Amino acid sequence: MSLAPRSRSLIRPSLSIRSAALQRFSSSSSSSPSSSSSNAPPIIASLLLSRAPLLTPTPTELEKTYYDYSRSIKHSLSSPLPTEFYFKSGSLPLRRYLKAEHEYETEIYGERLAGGKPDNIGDIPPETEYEILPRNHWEEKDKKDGKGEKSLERYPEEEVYCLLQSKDKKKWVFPSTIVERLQSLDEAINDNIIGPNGQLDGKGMDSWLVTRKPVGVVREGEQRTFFLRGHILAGQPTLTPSSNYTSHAWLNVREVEDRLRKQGDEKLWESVKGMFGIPEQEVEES
Amino acid sequence: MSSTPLRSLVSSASRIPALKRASIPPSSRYASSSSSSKSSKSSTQTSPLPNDDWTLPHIHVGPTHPSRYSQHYHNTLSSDLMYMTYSHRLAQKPPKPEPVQPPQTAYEANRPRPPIMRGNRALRTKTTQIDVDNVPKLESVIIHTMVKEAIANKSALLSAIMALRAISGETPNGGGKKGSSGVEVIVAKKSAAAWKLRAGMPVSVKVELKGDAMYDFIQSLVDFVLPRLRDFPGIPLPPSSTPKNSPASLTGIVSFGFNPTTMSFFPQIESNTDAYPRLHGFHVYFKTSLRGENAHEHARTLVSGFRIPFHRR
Repeated sequence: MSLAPRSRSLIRPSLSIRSAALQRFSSSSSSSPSSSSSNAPPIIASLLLSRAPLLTPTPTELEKTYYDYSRSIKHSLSSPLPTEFYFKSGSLPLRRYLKAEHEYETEIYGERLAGGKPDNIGDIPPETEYEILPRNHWEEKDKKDGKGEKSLERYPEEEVYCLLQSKDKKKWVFPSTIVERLQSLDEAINDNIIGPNGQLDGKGMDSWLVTRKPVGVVREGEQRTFFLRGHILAGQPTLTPSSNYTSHAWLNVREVEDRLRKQGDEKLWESVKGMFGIPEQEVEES
Repeated sequence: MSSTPLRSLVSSASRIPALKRASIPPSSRYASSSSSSKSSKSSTQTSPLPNDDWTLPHIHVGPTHPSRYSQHYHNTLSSDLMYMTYSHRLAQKPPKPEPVQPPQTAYEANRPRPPIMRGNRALRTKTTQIDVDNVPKLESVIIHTMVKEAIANKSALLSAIMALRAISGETPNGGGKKGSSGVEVIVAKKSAAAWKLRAGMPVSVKVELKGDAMYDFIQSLVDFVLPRLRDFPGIPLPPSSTPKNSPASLTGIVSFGFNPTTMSFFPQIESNTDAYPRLHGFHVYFKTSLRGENAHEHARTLVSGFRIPFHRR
């Protein structure tokens, strides 16, 4: 019996087809058990659970300067705004606009070209003030709460991935489970990892499998581990006592690489780094 | 407000790109920067160049701000879309041999080829192969409004032109960008006597958005307009009886329409709704890079990634 057809059946077969397949496989294996199937280790399904970036990346100094420059060029090329169409004469929005426009023109063209202050602006009441949270407010809150690596809001500008620490060897691993006979990869993940009775206790978290197809495979001799992609949408994983893990951590790509390399899993990192968007071989340019 | 100021606006705005390309006399060199009376005063005092043969160099305006939805697509959506739309079956299939092209005559050389016909139908659209280099993406967004009153009264189009211009902010070749066509007036292709429509009549207005302008439109649609629609269940999905091989299902274009009140929720229009004689309903077309089998489903997956909800009737 070969394991290949099972991993290739990506579409969830209907119940009748599955029962027929079950019958066929069980009868064939009972009548003529091949030597390879009895020795082959079970397939392992692993989950690459991640949280998408919460914030857009902060523009660098160069980007900021470029944006400012382009904006001033755009401003100088644009035709003057027909204020009589967009504003009522003498209204507060018009006076606000004229004031802001004059300030911006003074900034980009200088005093001489911007001309004098527009007349009859009068008193402009301040606009409603909104509380603007600083970009690192999650970080500061986590520091106060002492959440550390368990905080889901770590590195809000980057994608963070879930890693678990195993009980026996204290090694950091991806959440994974053994795929039972005639079980599909996504079923195994849903039942044993992110489901309500799974290792990560799905009752306290909302997660989503991107696709039923595997996004990567790691081969160690006969052993094959298929990776599925998932996103956490809300909540937190709580490790059940029956699972083989002690704690979890949300790590960005650099930390995942560091942790795997430090514990001697260099080979594993080399085979999974493609899933993190890192090319297989660094292109050397001479 | 009547349509008179609208008309003057529309006519004046169409002159602007011509001004940018042509050589500009020194007295009006700063005319585009601020109100013309002030700047002409300052430029007559000191001219930066002594000669009059100075022409405005070609200026390309780059992005003026980081685009939120564009970054969302590149950082979050694209990898998921690749995994969701990747077909192992298609990837393992050996590539089909290209259909044999009939020999070309001297007339046909260097002219666009007509489609290869099977019976009276063109050959099936080739399915887009999804891989790392070819992830489903939005190519452009088209906003289109048909104004029925324009058949009897052409000036009824003006408010639609102005509204689309305010929403999109596009001008022909604006910012030195090739391919941005600005707001276009569409003329009828065929006559329809029942509606007193004759071929060549201007009946509708459209604007095609690409690049960052497209993502900015999606942002204002999704963040300001859709949350404020009353009893909005989502964009209705086509019924499940829609044939999978129909030309519409193979093109990878997601389209839907909105009623006139929707237009008033755009912040660009909301600030001065009184200035428009009337508001118009409009169609939005999301043009994606997908073609062929499952193109329509995958295109909707892509569009729903931008927080546009769909619902089954």
